[in-house]
Amino acid sequence: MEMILEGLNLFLANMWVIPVGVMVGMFAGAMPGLTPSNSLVMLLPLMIVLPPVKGLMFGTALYAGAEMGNSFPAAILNIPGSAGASITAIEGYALSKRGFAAKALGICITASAIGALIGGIFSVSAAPSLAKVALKFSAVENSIVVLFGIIVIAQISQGGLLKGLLSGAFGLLLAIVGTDPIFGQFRSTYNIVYLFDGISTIAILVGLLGFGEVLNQLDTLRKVQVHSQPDKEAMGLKGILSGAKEVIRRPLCCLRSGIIGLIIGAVPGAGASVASLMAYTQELQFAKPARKKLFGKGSEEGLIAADTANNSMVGGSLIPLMTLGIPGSATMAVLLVVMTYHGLTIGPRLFELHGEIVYAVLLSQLAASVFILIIGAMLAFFAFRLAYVSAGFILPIVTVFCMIGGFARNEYIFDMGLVVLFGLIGYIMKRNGYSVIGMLLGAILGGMFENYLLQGFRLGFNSPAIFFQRPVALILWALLALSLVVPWWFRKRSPGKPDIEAE
Amino acid sequence: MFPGICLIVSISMIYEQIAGDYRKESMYYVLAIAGPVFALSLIDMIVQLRGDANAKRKADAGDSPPPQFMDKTYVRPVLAAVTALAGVLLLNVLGYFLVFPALVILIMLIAGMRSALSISLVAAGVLLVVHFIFVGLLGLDLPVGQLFN
Repeated sequence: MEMILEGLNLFLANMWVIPVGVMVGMFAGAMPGLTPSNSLVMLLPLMIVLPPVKGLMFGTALYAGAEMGNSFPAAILNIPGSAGASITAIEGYALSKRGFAAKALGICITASAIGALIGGIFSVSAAPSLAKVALKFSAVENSIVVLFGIIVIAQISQGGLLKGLLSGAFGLLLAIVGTDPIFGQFRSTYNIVYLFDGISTIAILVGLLGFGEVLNQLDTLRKVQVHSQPDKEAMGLKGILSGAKEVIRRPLCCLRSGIIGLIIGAVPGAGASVASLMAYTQELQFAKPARKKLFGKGSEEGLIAADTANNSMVGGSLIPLMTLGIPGSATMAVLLVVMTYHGLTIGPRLFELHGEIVYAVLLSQLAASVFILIIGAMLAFFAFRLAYVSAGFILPIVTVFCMIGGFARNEYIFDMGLVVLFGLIGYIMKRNGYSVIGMLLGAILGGMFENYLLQGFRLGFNSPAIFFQRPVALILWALLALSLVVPWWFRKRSPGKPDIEAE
Repeated sequence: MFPGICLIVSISMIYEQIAGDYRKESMYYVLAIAGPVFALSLIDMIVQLRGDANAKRKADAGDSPPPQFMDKTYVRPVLAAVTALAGVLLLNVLGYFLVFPALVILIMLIAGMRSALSISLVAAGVLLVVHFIFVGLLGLDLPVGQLFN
């Protein structure tokens, strides 16, 4: 209780960063070429310089704001800012075409705010209990949990299991470079002084998510064709309020989608696109036959489900990060790097040692829901116009910011070179269907995995048998095996079904 | 291409461990990770080569259109990466005052922007933000360049 109050104090003292984060996130989400993760990567130098609590609260608010901001151009212009807003583009744009643009925006804003609220409430209430359970894990279980996170991401990656596993294992390999944690010997440093402390995780992160995305956008650069301008008469506060009423009239739809978003958010690698798609299909099952016909043609339920799940997913993805130290998405990986940079203990002990910071960050998710509502309504008729900005303006700015992001930690020009190198690797991976997030997770969690693994071996007097003797470890191994076999079995039963793409 | 990168990196790391004068215990973890990477990348390469061969055979038999092994969309990203790398290499000599605006201009040109006014405005804007926010406010020690020292 004392820790919650300390967290509340810390949260209130730094609350001003939340509206700023939400607003920046909304602008970033509405702009072409910017995703929640690469906009956070762009602002990494800022988050590193800020005190940890401010940086993390800002990052969480930005993530929530960006997931909402994606919906503006999606609903009005049929241009989804990211894969997570594709359902919004279908249903929202169909509503706009029928002359209900403001109503569509009202639904997006209110559903996103409710989604963020559900995510916030759940993460604040459930994370401490889950952390208590996680605290009972020894190094043996923790090493399996890290492996589990990497393998789950590999499993749901776009290009299939083999490509996903290779990406994750390559990330683990990169984490080896540097000094051996037990014997202090240099490993794979090739006598390069800059590698003695290991490859900078910030350079890998900025390269893969930031510069890699720039290269990817340059590859797919097309001129955005906007066929219709929104009808000015259809855009008004009255319409927004009627959209809000539509959402409030459907509490069960919000709750169902919110829970789906939470669960998907907590699964490493799944992300906004999967959350919104699953909530949408679920809502389709629940809809009455008359309403079912409206799906794909401007269904309010479909839009509510997608936007609620999209935002509750943010709260869900905070849970594995705060309790186990495993990021659920690329954006959470950025927050993990910020936490590591500030020396916060990653994993179950985070609640014990820095509980006040964790509570402040989780509470910021609750506050973000209120600011999404206020700032969203204020920016609704303006932010969607950002979709007209050419990506050609944004990509060079992201490039320079990525360079600075890579440089900021150690102030080595060498790290800027690494940003370019990993950007190129990230681009090649994305182009050929390899999992960028899998590699990133491997590289970030590699050090932690090695430590847990070696501690586990010491617990078992250098025998690997200990990894298969403890009951919790056995359950985790069984879950790991199931996570490998079940999707494969389902895929075999329905070969036409496309793979889910991780964020 | 990616399995090729993984293969080279894993071989070089295994070689470095075996050839170097390291403690055996320190070597195990490297081998435990590099070994599977080597094996997975080899399997992936074989799978890809078999897939390519099958696609070619189908195309020869007239069952499907000829596979497009390479298209030219990679030109712009590769040009941008080379430009960025050149920028990094020149940063120590020319400093951020020259390198960053040049990088912005070149990447905007690669992205297909042609308006001189907008290009120069974005370049100047980026330089101002870098100078006043990152260097001035956040205190980053970006290299000013040996030419100007």
